[in-house]
Amino acid sequence: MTAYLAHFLVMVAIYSILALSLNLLIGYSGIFSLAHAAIYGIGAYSSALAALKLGLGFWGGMVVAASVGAFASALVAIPSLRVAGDYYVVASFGLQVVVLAIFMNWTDLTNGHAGLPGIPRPSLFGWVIDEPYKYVFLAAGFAVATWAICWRLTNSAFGRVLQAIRDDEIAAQAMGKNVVLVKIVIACISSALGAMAGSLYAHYITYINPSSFSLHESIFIATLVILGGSERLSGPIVGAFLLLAIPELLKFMAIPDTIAAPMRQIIYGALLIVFMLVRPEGILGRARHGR
Amino acid sequence: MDLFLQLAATGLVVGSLYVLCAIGWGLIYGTTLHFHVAHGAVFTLAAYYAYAGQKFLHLPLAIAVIGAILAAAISGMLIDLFIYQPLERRGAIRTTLFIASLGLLTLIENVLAIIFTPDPLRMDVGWLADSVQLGPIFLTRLHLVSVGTAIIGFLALMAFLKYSLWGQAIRAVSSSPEMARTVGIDLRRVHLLTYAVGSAISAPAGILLAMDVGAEPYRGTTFVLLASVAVIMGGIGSIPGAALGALFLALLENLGVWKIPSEWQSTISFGIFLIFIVVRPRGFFGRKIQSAEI
Repeated sequence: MTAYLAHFLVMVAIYSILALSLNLLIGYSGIFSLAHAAIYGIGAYSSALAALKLGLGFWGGMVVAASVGAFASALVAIPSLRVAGDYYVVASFGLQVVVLAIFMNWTDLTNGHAGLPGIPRPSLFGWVIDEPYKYVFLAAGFAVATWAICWRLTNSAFGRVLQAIRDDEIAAQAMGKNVVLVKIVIACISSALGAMAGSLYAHYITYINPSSFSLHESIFIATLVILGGSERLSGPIVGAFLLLAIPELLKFMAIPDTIAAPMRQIIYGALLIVFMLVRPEGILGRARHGR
Repeated sequence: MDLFLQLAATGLVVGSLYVLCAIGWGLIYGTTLHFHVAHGAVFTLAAYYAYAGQKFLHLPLAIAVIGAILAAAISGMLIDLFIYQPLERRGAIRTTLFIASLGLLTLIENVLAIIFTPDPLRMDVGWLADSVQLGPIFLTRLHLVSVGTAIIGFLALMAFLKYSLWGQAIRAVSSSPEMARTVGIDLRRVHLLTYAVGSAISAPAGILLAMDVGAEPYRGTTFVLLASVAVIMGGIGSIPGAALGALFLALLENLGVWKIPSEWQSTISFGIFLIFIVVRPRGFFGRKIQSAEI
């Protein structure tokens, strides 16, 4: 039972990091990304490969993950954020598709559908973090650190520029802000953080394959942000907690697996529609005025 | 050379489905500016309507297809009426609308997956499945029907927009919503009409796919996003541009197989998209969307 609860908390922490980092884009910059699962996957794969092939271990792997994640995101953000927001939706979906194709088809590197087994557990000063309850502290530590980074970012001058761009891009431009550069920088920061969540996941589960990083996963992460409330820092964490609890509750009902998976998606989809119609600011959000 | 011709022909057949999907989505996007990803769900619904019409209601194929197109048009209108219009009345921002659309896509796909299982369900197409040989190229009759449908659908849509009063109203709203409102056009009714026409024009793509390889619940997402790529490449607001973009994507994906393994097809399309928005963000012939007007 403790192991079960610990596992649940580790996953909540990992998804909180994902949701917090995605919220930098959706909530604070008004940029919708459909590629966050791909970024998560890039983090998981590059960290795992760095550990397995280069022997870099957990900490080195995480640095590699964050760099590769930020790089991949820049590759898409630089062309598409120069134009309008809608282009980024399509471009990020493209990134999602291409990255998943690489995970599945570049078998020499990623081992295709079979995935990568035997990813080492992290260790801290010679203390190996192998039990779920030990991992709770590590994952929670990273979640708190991510929260702190996001808090610092959004409460800085940079954060206010971001929100100005979200609310009125032309006005921000008229004030002499380099709108495009700011957007590209925030996309890279968001991806670096998201990729770190992937690294945490890979070294926790010790086995990864492409199925964990699909488009459905991207939509799920966006759902966490939106339902929790995209304009509060704590919103995404609440979203992660509540939405990860739903499948656990479904497990207690006797629903066959073939129904349970689409059932979960139906619940997420319905929640998105209902929230948009009734409470678009999310559970914790403040109502936004204007437009 | 024979392989090249065969791949070009396959590209044309796939392209005809892309064209139908892209001109329908492009009409809706160009007119309402809704990033209507739930169009993918309408596309998928059309396939299952036709399947259900044939298997459960035992309708003849032609009647099932026509019924499915009508049902798809109504589905598109209902989405606008019950999801987008209430949101717009409340002054929701465009992202809110997109998220609701995404939720709807997820919802409908998975309801279909529960009702009909995630496996492809094939329709009986009788003699349409027979193969025909044109020189070195092998196709089925159904493939020729696909190409014909795309050509007819495209020309019909162009004529509708150009000559009919309703079509002119759609064009007026597409070029300037404010101006259209000042001259007395009811935006909500034009939006509803656009959803009906856009859904009806894309529905045959879903149905033809169901006739060829089977109806599948999760196909629509890829199709609608490829359609959005085609529309951006062709130029937003331009129907010929959307058709050209779709055809270009399909030919490139299929001719690419000549040199590149087929599992990289999707990578080709999106790689091209990224190059395209750097080189020519307003597409072949269209206007560039600016975040300021959103």
